Amino acid sequence: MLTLRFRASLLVALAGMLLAVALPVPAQAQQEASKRADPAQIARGAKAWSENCGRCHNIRDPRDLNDEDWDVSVTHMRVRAGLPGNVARDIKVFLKNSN
Amino acid sequence: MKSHRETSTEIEPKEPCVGRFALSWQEGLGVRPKAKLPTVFAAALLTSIIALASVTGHAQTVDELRQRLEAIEQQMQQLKEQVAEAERKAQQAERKSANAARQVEADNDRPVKWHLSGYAQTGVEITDEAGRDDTFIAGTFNPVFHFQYKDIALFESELELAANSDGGTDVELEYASIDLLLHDNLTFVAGKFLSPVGQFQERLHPAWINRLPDAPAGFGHGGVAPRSEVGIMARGGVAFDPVTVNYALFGGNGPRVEFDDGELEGIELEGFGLDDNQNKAVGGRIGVLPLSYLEIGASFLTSKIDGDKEDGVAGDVSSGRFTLWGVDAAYTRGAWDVRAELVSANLGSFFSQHESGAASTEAVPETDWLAWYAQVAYKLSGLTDRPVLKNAELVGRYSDLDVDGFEHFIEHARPEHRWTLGLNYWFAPTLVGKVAVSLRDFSDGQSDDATEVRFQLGYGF
Repeated sequence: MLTLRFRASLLVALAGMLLAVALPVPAQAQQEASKRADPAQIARGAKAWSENCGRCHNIRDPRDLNDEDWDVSVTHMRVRAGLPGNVARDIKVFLKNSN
Repeated sequence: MKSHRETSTEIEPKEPCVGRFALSWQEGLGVRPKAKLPTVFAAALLTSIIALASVTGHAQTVDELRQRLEAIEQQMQQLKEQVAEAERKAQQAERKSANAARQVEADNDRPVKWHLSGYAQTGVEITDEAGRDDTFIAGTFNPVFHFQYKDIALFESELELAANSDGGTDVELEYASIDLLLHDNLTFVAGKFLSPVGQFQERLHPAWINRLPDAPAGFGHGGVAPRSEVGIMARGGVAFDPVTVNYALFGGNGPRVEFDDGELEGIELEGFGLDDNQNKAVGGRIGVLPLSYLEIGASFLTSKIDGDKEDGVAGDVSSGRFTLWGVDAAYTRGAWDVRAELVSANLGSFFSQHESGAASTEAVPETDWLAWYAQVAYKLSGLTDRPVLKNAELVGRYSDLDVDGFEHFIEHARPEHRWTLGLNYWFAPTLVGKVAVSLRDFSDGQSDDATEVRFQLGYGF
């Protein structure tokens, strides 16, 4: 019975996943970090960058990577470090305006 | 009263000084009152000579001016040409800049982006442990691939390429997962992923991040800290300013017994591509950051592990419940990097073949594992700005692995108490040279104590 319940739970989880994927991705999440960001976002990004990136490893120089690399790299770190999406976007904007 | 003619030729000054001046002026021109005719001609000739000399000098000045004017006109023409050339170049630069800007915009707007990163390590190991030789270590090369589709999905994968002791190359898939960014606070992960249980395995194991050349006791191969999982996971982070919470909850194939050459050696907490039973593992971690530089986490994992046997061995196999919990903490502020982590696991009794040649399966007694470490690292940049010293870092770590229960598991895990002291030099934020001394006190009753010295170069890119 436990196995059956677990299977059912898995199916429910998968269904939820598919539903979530089918739903429109929040507009906010689709916003690309832009070079034309407002200074307040850059400032938030600088603060988040200094507070979060050094939690596991040395902070890297923004000039280490180009815009596209930072886009992808920060998305990876968003997943790995459990960063909220808006914080990750702030960090992207800061890095792309500082490299 | 005298006439004007008389005044101009026969001056009789009313005032003595005026009369002297008038006389001198007339004398200068050779005009004297009642002067003779030859004297007048001489004066006219002199005047003509003076006038001619004046006209000749003026002509020379005009020539000079004309020459200068011509030179200026030439310079003006050259300047015009230079300005035209500069304008042409400026227009070309502007076109190139506009093209580059359009290219950058196009790159930013491309739906698929990718990034190759990774890390590598190599080193030397010197030890006095019986049965082991001093050796250079080829190390590993771990390329990490990231492919992102808009802000919707990310595929990420890490390979580990390592030169083995036989001269060959081992290739392992460390992880390969598709991450769907469903929401700012939720990411769905599917595939093989690093276990989020604890902090070392998922976040700290790369050589350019790990502050010491080795893993803490119990957190490497044969340890009890889960390394990876195959399954699905929901994870993310939520900010409750100033507190931030991150979470991960997963279901997967789970661990299994390590059964090599017919002998039950231990448990493998790896992500297996296919499961060997219907039971699935469930685990997760929650991390809380009350301050931006302090994270406290708690983890768990529960699963069932089946026994195993070779063909022809009598008796049944059964499964045992495997339960793991852990806590971790990290303080990272300024020059300090202080971490601690504890993992406690229990595997209930089950039936399995114990070793090759056994006639039948037997009960495997309940076994407990306890692994923990505390580590302090301090960069000398907190003390000095001197060019060389500021890049150095001192590290100390105590780690401990205890195993109580089935003797095969104890033998395989090699429980120990280990002190490690290290000195790092950071050539760059992602390039480090390490040297560390480990004092290993084994408590399995079979191994002698050992001292090891390790040198390692680690590079992240």
